[in-house]
Formats: sequence, structure tokens, C-alpha cells
Amino acid sequence: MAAQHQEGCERARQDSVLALIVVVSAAILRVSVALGVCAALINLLVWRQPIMEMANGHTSAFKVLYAMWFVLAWGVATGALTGLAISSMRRRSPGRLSAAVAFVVGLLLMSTVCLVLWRGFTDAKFMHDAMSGVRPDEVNSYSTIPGMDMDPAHTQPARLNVVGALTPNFIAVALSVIYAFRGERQGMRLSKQS
Amino acid sequence: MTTAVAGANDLHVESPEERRAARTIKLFIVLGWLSETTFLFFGMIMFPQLHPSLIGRLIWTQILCGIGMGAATGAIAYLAASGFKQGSRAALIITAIAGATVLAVCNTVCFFVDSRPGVDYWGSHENPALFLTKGYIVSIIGGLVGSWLLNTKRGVSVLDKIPFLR
Repeated sequence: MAAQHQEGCERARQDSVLALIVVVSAAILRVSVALGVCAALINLLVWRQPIMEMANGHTSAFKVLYAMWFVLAWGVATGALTGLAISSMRRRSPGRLSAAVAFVVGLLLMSTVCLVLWRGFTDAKFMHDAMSGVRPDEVNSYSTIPGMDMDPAHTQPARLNVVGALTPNFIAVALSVIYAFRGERQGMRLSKQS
Repeated sequence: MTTAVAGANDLHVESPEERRAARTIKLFIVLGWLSETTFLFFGMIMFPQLHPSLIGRLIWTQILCGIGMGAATGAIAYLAASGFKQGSRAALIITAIAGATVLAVCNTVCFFVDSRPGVDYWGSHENPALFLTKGYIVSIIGGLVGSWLLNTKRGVSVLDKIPFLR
């Protein structure tokens, strides 16, 4: 009887720990994505003109869809990849070294996606290679692609600055790592108390 | 719920529910990457005249569209269905709808951007209906397959056999 009671208590404690793990895992992803979305929204507000250039000439509905796509790519995608990196490192070890590795990997993944997008927004040759079906020798100027005019005579008033654009995401990755690994220590304290 | 908890203080155990977030994102990355790679070869075969350079196209489709948008789709699908138990009918339906919707938004934006003068992404000018139809069909298939793999016993057993998605 006593053994059964002890076994029941142990199982209940294990279930509560498991519930805590699930909650923490989901919370890490939610926080990473939310911070990524905040970073994307900041960039959209600060660099609205160069980012929305590709949507010029379309309807307002398309502009909204395009802004949503930007937030998905620049915010949700980078947040998800950061969350993935943090979760996988956290599973291995809750220590500071894991936090540092998670930060570096998260930063690398975030930078890769953001730099491809940034290149697409700022480099007409790259965007031409990526999206245009017209052969390079058939193109007189890359300014034929609206919103990607690289001619100095037609310089855009605001050009997406790579350091400025990546800074909010850099902060988002750092905050996500801090949240995840601080949460881990809190979780361990909670489980010890239970 | 079956657990593999070694001790009350062991926070690094693996349960299907704990793996759910990472698994959803990784699965949609794989599905997104497969879709984009299929589109790449489909475009090269159907519209061979529209391929001046492969490097830029590879970087854009594999990194941004495949990995980036796949991760975004997985995150949205997970966040939308996380309120429901994995394997439940509600989780199955919501994961499928969320996954397919995000992929469809990508396809729509891609189509409108590529419809602009000077831009032509593997046939959006030559055959716009084909561009949109193949994109929406693959979006729906992607959402359904992803949801089936994540929320059915047979699907989970398939995922358990793949090291990256285990």
C-alpha cells in the first residue's frame, strides 16, 4: 500500500516535471518568434521605403500581403530557427557553454536568412539572377526591375543598411537565449521545490 | 502519457509532446525545401530559356524559400495547433490549414512580385495559371502531408525512422 502510494507520488511528480518541460519548450519558441516579429516590425517601420519598394504599383491588399510576407520571412522564420537552435542546445545541457553555442548558432541562422533577404532588397544583380528570367545580355540596365534601380543617378533616398537592419534581430536572438536559459534554471529550482 | 523520465530533476527527457515544436519546424523545413527543389527542376525543364544564372536562384530558393519559409510555416503551424493535443482531430485540421495557408501566402506574393515587368520567375509571364496552380496544389499537399505526419500514429512512426526528424 505504502509502495503503491510512493509510486503514485513519483509518477505525479514526473508528470509535473514533464508538463513543465513542455510548457518551457513551447514558451521558448513563442518568445523567439515574438521577438523576431518585433524585430521585423521595427525594420518595416524604419526601412519602409526600400523594403516595400517591390510592392509599389500594386493594390493596397497586395501591399498588406507583401508586408505579411516580409514579417514571416524576416521575423517568424528567423525566430523559429533561433528557437530551434536554442531548444536543441538546451536539451543537451542547460549550462553557460550551451547558451553561448545556442547564441552563436541562432545568430548564424538568423544572419543567413536576413542577409539573403537584405541582398535581395539592395543588390539588383543578385535579385536579377534570383528572380528574373531575362538573360543578362538582354538587359540594358537592372533598373528595368522596378524598385531595384542601382544607377547612382537614380539613387533611392533610403537604402537598407545591413548593420541597422540586423541589429533588432541580433537583440532578439540575445534576448531569446537569455530567456531560455534563465527559464531553465528557474525550471530546475521549481522542480526541486515540488 | 508515456514518459522516459529518469529522475524528477532531469529536465532533458524526450517525449513526443516535448519534441513537437522542434519536430514541426524541422518537418516543414524539409517539406519546404523539397517543394522548392521540385519547383527549381520543374522550372528548368519547362522553361529552359529563363535560366541565365543558377547561383542566385539556388541561394534564393534553397535558403530563403526552402529553409526560411519552411521554418516560418512550421512555427505558425505549431503555434496555431499547440493549444490542442498532438494527434487530436483539431490539431490535425489546424496544422493542415495553417501550413497550407502560409505556403499559399508565399506563393501569392511570389507570383505578384514575379509578374512585374523585368521579372520572370520560371514562367509567371508565359503561363501564370500554371505558376499559381502548381503553387497552390503544392501548398495544400504540404499542409496535409505535414499534418498527417505529425498527428497520426502511422505518420509519427514514419518520422521516428528519419534521424533528422526523430
